[in-house]
Amino acid sequence: MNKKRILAIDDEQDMLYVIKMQLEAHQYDVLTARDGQEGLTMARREAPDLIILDIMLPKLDGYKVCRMLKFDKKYSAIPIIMLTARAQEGDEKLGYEVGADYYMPKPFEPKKLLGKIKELLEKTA
Amino acid sequence: MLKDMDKDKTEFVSVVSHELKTPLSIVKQLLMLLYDEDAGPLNDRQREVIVKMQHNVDRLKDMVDKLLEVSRIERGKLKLHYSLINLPELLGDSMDYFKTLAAEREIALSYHFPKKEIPIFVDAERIRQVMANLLNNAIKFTEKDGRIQVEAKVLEATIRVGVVDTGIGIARADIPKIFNKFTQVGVGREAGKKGIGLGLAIARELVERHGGEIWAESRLGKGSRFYFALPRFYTADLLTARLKESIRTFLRQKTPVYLINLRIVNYKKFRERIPVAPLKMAGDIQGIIDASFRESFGADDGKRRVFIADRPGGKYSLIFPAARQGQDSARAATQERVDGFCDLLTAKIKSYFVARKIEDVFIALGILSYPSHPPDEAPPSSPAHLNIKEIYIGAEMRRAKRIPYETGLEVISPRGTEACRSLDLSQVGVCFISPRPFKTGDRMTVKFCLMKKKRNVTVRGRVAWITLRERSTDYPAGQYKVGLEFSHLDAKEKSLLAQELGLYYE
Repeated sequence: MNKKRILAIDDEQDMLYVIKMQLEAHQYDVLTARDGQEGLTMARREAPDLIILDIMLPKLDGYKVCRMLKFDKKYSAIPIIMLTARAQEGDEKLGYEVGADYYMPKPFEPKKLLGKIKELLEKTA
Repeated sequence: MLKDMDKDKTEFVSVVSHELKTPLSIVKQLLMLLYDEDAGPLNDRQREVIVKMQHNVDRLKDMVDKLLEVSRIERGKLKLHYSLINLPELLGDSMDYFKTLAAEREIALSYHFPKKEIPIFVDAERIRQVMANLLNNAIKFTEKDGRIQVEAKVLEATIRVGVVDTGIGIARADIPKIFNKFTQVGVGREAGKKGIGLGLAIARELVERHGGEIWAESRLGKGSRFYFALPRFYTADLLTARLKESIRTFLRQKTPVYLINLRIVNYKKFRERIPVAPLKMAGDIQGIIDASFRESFGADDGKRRVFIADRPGGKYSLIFPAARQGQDSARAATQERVDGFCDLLTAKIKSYFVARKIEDVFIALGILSYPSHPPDEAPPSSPAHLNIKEIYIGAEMRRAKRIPYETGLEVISPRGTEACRSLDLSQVGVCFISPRPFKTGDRMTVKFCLMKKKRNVTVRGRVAWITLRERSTDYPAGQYKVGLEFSHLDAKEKSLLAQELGLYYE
């Protein structure tokens, strides 16, 4: 069976480390990118099954990356989970307005993230 | 490595706190990774160590959050988001969580509040924060087999909530200081109980921002009673049939909408105080709403929005569609623009009244979402939703308006008669200084001479709140500031008081 591929985009190296280790322990293949531009390029090139996207990113912020993928028919079907450390009110609404499929605050509980990933992947299957 | 500080040059604490949060958050994440054995199997001792690390990281995170909060408060950046809620529901929300927490330490926690609905107009999240702070403290400082009680009481002009425990108590000399910043009193035996001493300071700030009071009574070794009182507001019927129908029309077209409600509180009385004919005022307000709308969303043909005015009732409602996903036009009603519109509207209305010499107008912005959903359950593909903003305008509830009033008072209570001095007077009570303490709820009679009317009055009352001021050279034993609420005033007494206070009696 083919493993599902997840692209994680975050500028904090250690966050990528954590996400990679957690997801790989649960049979996912993980690709990583460290800024918005790189993330967008990789998403288009690799067509992952799901994207985990941080908001505060250098070069191109998470909202823009999400918007650009969601408004492009070729990639709009890829589920996107947005992560953020900010807890400001407008964030979540903006996240949904740009088409994110889910919105998770950091730090997140691994079980919650894994559960959401599973749920979103099953939906698109 | 501190990032670019240009934006927040003067907000050192805020920037530092933000920077601290990132690595803290990552450490938490790494610990969870370890604990879940995603990095390999663990033995019992390693698990224990990780749990202790998580506990301390949580303590750190809590301190950083509090520092940020205080910094926000000090920079005037704390914005309250009001809504009309039912107090028992608000308290009940976290009841299970705290009962479990208390049970873990073998403390009995019980709740006592009236069964009826108690509507209050507050920032629900912030009041929850105050409650959590008081309850966490009560649990922290109460020993095994102790009791904690949460009670809510509806008074004349306020709603009072109390957290009463049989814990270790606070020394009299320390009571005036506990709400100060960075003050820690009577720390528990275990080092793990120490915090940063900001919780109560934040609680006080939040309660006072709501126009309320917070105070404590305590006896060392016997227990503590923490109270806070919030002003009562009125019940507003939010959605009339016409409004509901208009909203339904939009929702049927799958368009998310905004509903902005403008309410003048106590409208009949308010109208009488304003030197403008009611009809003209209603027209003026409508004009202000129109102008603000055009300024915020650009000139339009008025077709997309629905405006409903209930002029005799002092209520105005505006409904318009929210910006759709991806809609970028300059006229789209995005959250940001709507916030700007409400701010503009509030400012214009305030100037309108100030220009007509009505200065004690209060304008509060309330945000209600309909339908509401719990914050951590995100509706990824929600159907068209409704955002409601309520703007309340009104004169401060005059009956409870306190004016400075200094005169001698004779205070008669079960323990005798004492001569005290009053500080302020209102139609519902009097605030005075007493050398000795009373307990919240104590009954007494006060006698004093009305300075303007030159009449003696004798009124009964109950202690609504009491705070201990710090010692001074004049009062080495400290001074108690007592808030007394009058009970059972008859019509004659009410009228006398009203005339004394120069207020219009209603």
